[in-house]
Amino acid sequence: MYQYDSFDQKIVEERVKQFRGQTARYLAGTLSEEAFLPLRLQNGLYIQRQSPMLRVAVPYGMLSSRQLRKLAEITRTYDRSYCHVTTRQNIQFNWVSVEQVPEILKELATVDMHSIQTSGNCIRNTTCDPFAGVAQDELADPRPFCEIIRQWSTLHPEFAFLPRKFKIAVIGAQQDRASIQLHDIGLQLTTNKVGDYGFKVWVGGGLGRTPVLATPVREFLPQQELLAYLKAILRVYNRYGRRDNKYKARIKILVNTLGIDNFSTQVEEEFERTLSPEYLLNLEEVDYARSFFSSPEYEAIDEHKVQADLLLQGQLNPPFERWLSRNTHEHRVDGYSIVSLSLKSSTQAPGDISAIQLEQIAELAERYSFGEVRTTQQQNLVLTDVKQSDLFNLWLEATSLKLATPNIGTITDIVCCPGGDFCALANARSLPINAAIQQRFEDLDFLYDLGDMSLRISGCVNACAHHHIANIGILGVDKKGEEFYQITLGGQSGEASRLAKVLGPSLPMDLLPEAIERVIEIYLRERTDHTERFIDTFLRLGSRPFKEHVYGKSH
Amino acid sequence: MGNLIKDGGIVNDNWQLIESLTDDEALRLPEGDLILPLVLWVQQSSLFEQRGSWPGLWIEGNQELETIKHLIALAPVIAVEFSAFTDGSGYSTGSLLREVYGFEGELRAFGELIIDQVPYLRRCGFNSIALPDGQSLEDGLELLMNSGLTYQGSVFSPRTPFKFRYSKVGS
Repeated sequence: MYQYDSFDQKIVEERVKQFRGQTARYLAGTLSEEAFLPLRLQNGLYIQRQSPMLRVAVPYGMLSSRQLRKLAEITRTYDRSYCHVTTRQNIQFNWVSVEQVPEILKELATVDMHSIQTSGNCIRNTTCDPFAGVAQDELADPRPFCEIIRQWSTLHPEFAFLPRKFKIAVIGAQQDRASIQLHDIGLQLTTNKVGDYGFKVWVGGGLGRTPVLATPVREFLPQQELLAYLKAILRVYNRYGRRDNKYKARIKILVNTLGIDNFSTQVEEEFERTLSPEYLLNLEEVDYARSFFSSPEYEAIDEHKVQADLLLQGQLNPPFERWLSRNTHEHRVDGYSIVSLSLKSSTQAPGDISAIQLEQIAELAERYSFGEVRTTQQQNLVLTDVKQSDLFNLWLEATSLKLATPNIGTITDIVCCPGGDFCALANARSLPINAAIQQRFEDLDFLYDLGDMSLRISGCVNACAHHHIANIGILGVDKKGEEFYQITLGGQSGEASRLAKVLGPSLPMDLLPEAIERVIEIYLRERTDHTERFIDTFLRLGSRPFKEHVYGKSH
Repeated sequence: MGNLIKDGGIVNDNWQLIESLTDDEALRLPEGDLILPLVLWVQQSSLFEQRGSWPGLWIEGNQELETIKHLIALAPVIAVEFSAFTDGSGYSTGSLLREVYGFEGELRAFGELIIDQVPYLRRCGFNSIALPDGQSLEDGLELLMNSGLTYQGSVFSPRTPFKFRYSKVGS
């Protein structure tokens, strides 16, 4: 993975020093609340309902064992011995004090980490495919470009005060595991006719109050021109994006207002007129970035023998077989697997992870996966390079750490925001809904039979849990001071991204789990057989039978 | 405008910012170096043409530049107003003036700015920065002088992040 050089180290240390000064000015009263707000946000510091929250950047989801241990140490010293994996692959500390944040940032800087631009109206942490570098369907590794974008966007002087937040995601595979169409800019590595690398570029995606899927704006952008083109898009947005209404300030609104053709013309004009050689990446620097992400030393493995062993282990241990089927994924190298560690169970908030777990995962990663882990947009962790002959032992250990719930990609792999329990913006709590659904679908055989399904819960229209792209989405709404919940059905993420539609009137909390169960009843009754996924049944039938069963025929 | 940060020091500003003119003034413009809002600048341009010296040009952060291209070439000073410190459109406007319109005169930022923005402004091409009351020029200048390494360089000498670093490692 990428290692800071003295240049990166200096930049981050200077930023820590600067933020220490800003915090001191704020606490001394010489920096107003109003002026401190955007400055602290650009350092990931929110003032929440119960305590300030600090969001730490995990660039494109990569963490080393050393970093995991430092995070564990920070949660013990400055927080309540746990932290939280966000839907944008970052880490959040929920119980910090403003005074101590500069100290935390200093600690983070010792392990190549920071919280720069994890919030605020600027370019946020670049996200990526959690299987980057090991996916079977990958054309090229997106991470070198993620790192280049990370550096380019860090403290960029022109784009620190944009109309609204700005998110970029990059993939190099066929399957889109990073939901690039939901980002302000989505980039997919591709090649042109002569085999040169470049990107297909999407623009104007985003969720929130007005969910929009991004539109292609360039079919092929040569890799050397990446930063010049990003600059052109950002500059058009910074000049013409709306600033009068924060709900109409994202680039998706500008793209929509101008129309994609007009927007594209403006970007291309801007690109052409400022395309000087200084903005072009040369291939040596791309190679240099790539050198940080070279493959680890894989062993040559007798695939057939390992497969036979796994088959036997699975037959003797059905729970292991279920875990293999749900929580491991194909690796591009024979004899290796990608393993998801589930942060979802009935006893925890989705994405929460304790100091002890952090440390033990650091150790698992060292023993089984070259000392690295990835965070995912589904709020789980991934070990990318596990020898298949180690899977059984890893499963045993992960089970004892409560990280082996075999529910990846199922209805209990719930993505959920902190909701009204923590967040000042929320209209309703989301964690109790998560707990209720977890309990209803606790039976693992039943869960396994239900198969692929996604469920996401957002506590308000800001849609931090991305409920619009879930097969089953739940949105908290406020009805005369009471917590109500809207159900949406039919959303999908990935290359077949699709926005869900509202099923019917919102329901009070006590009726919601029952309603979700009714949605599942229709699926089980109507699916052609157990291989037809929930989303396919839904798309085949439409929402009507679901609606009738949830609300009764009178609706 | 009083004092401002200019080219790495704090200097007394001799430009006068004229927001509007009475009818009388319009007939006989005040003496000295003036900065006029775009509309006035255009209205009074024949007078200045007679005088043989052009006033400074005051524009909004999101001013369309293509339509005032010919004025950019004439103005000795362009002062970009930041209506709120959270409105960053002026950073792009400044960059464009330097990068695309080849403006080489004094490029000034003024309005609702805070000292923390001084280094960013400088890197976007502003060589003079006026701060509102309550923001210390000395502190702003100190931030500017102590601003360290950057990944992007500035509009005067932009670079890609690894430009001068990749050769160091013989990978």
